[in-house]
Amino acid sequence: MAQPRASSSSANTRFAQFKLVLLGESAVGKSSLVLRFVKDQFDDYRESTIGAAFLTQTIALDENTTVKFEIWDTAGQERYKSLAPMYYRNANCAVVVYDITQAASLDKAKAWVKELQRQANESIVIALAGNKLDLVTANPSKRAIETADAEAYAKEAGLLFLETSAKTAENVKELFTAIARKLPTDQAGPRRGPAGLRGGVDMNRTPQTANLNGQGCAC
Amino acid sequence: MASSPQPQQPLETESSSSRPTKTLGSVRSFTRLESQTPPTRSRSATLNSSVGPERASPFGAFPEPNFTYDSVDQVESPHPTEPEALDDHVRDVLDEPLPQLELPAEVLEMTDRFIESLSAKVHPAPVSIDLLSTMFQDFYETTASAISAHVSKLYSSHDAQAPDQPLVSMSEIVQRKKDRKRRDNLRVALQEVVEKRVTEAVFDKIWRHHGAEDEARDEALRSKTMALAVVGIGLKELGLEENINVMDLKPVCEAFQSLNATKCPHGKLHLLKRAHKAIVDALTSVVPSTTSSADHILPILIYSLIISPPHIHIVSNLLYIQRFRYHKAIDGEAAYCVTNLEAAVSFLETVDMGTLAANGSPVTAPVDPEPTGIPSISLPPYAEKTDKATLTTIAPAITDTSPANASPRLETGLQKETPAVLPMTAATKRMTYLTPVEFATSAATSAVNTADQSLKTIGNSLENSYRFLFGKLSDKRTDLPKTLEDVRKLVGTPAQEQELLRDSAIYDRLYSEGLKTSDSYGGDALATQMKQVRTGETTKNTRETTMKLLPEREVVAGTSLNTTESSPGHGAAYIPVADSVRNL
Repeated sequence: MAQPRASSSSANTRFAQFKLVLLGESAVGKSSLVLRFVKDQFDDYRESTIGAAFLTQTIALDENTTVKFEIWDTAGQERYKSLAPMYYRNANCAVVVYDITQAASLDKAKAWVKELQRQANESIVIALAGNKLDLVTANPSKRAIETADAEAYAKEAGLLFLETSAKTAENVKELFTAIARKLPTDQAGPRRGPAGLRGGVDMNRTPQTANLNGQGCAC
Repeated sequence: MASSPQPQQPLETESSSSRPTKTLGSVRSFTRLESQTPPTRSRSATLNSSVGPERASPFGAFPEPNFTYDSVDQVESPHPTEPEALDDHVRDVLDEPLPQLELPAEVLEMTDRFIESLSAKVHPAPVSIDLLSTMFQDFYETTASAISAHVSKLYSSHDAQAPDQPLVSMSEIVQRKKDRKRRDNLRVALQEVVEKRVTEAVFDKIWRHHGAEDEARDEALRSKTMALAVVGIGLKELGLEENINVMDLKPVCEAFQSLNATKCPHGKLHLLKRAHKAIVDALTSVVPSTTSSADHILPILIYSLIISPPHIHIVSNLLYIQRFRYHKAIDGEAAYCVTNLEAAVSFLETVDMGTLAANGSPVTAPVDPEPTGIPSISLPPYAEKTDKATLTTIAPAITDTSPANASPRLETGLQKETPAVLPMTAATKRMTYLTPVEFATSAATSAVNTADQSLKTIGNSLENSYRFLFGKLSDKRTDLPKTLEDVRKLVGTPAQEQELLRDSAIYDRLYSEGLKTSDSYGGDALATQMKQVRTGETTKNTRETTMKLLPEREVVAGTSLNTTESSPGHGAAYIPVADSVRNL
């Protein structure tokens, strides 16, 4: 269902596009993290018309493999929790963010992970990001969640895990690269059918909208 | 619509469909294309499809296309395919007005045959909205491949020599990328032309399709947003810390309002994007450093729906986009915007106002004796919140006479809210004399009417509204008001009325500055509705207020009748259309 768009256009080059959803409490720095990723490391950042809520970024995994992320932000306020499935449907990957200086934020993150594992696309790649590493580096007493604890949890739950700082960019690129590596860039079907059928409204366009039909009444 | 396939007409002129072209299969010029296509292409090769005069097959609403991909080999010759970040720019192109493109003959014929098949009486029972949507999607799929084939042919001779040659120069690569982009843009643009042609031709059959419950859902949502506004739900209650001036959200509401003025899903989607952009603009104008994350955008979107005028028909528009926009053309940012709206609507439909208020800071509802914290715009919006939907419940036959539902045969330019303006401001002023409870009452009346027709959701949402409203009251005072009289005593304090007036001034300003496209039905409907209220089971005080305003109302009601009367004549030409809808 949530097949990524990918292609092996010739023997040695691959391109794949994935939908990534961002989850986590408000104020843990979800959008800062992703803005850092999108703006910093690469020159081709284009300002999105809808701010940081929807961003795209392309990274080259190696000289032959290019991965494009479509990054969907979700509202972190508790009252919007029930809306999240609309955003993570057909997502290929998710970044669940917590704040390493706020103990409760990891509990929230765990709840998201649990929900994703229960309800999202089966093959979804989930990364856990403990953000605001810069605060702890500056003042170790601020740490509320031990790295080892979070790591143990992530391991048990089968998640990618990194502590990050949107502020200093530490581990940000690494996080997204790790996700890209875990995604099935090679086993996806061709992005385009016969050459010449590709492009704007081509036949292999975006999986994430494939089941909009008939979902009207689900909202 | 068209009685026979009319393959080669300039698309932008809808009216031309009544004048069949005679030269079938002739070569048409592709005006826009000429400049873009490589000189070596053979144009005639694209046109050897048989453009016969045969009618759509009586079986199935969607006959097979009868052109042949006779140059398929050539079409599918391998193209150089470097990996690339795919075409964000292609979509950006769509934000521009559509170019004056002519469809290739075979695609045009497919399109017109599809339109015809939709009108043909071939289905024993009315087609469900889901099936209809599927038919559209299948149709788009078919035209997309036909368009692809066509565009590839246009470029094929140019590209044919490419693959075996080594890439010599940078400029060559750049050129190829450019060419590819141009092809992509052309495909997208042609597909848009198809969508526009089809949806505009059958708009009044597919808009608020009567097998669906769109209208009732609009109505239910309206009741809900009214109730939320009554209890003073503001941005804070929705989880936004930043303080946004309501006036800054005017462009957002305007974009929502404009949704009804366009018939093609592409146009509606574009407006939805514009609404999102306006939200970001409003946010960054207040807090320049803010990153506009979903934490900000969703609450503002929801709030904008609450303060928008009632006739925006947001659910209908959302569903229309989801059903009749080519799914593969809802992607990237557009897909996000659609999901966001879907989420906002879902939130409003299901939110329990009690918990919402509890989540936020204490709600400064109008029942609060101190008017200090009332969001200045929270009340007046539903001065208008009685619209033609109510009228519709009285006279369903005129459903299609609202501006946006005007005949597809009208020129696009004419379909925009013509009647608008006149009684609206007056009506708004009049209505601001009503107390919130009376607004709620009129909401109840309309909602109940609609609920009678079909939906239970309305009942629920309204019940919740009331439960909350009264729950709220009971929190504040120890005894629960038992009658409307009691409620009115609580609510309609003089201070409150003053507050209302002040708010209405702001509201009037807001709307006289550009939001006043609200149709005259709004006022008329209220008048009609108030008559109902008056004759129906209402308490004395509601009646009193109504009586006070009676003379004015009668006048408006007269207008309303005229509207009703004029519409059958206006709509007479479309009776066959209505028939065929039933046969869809």
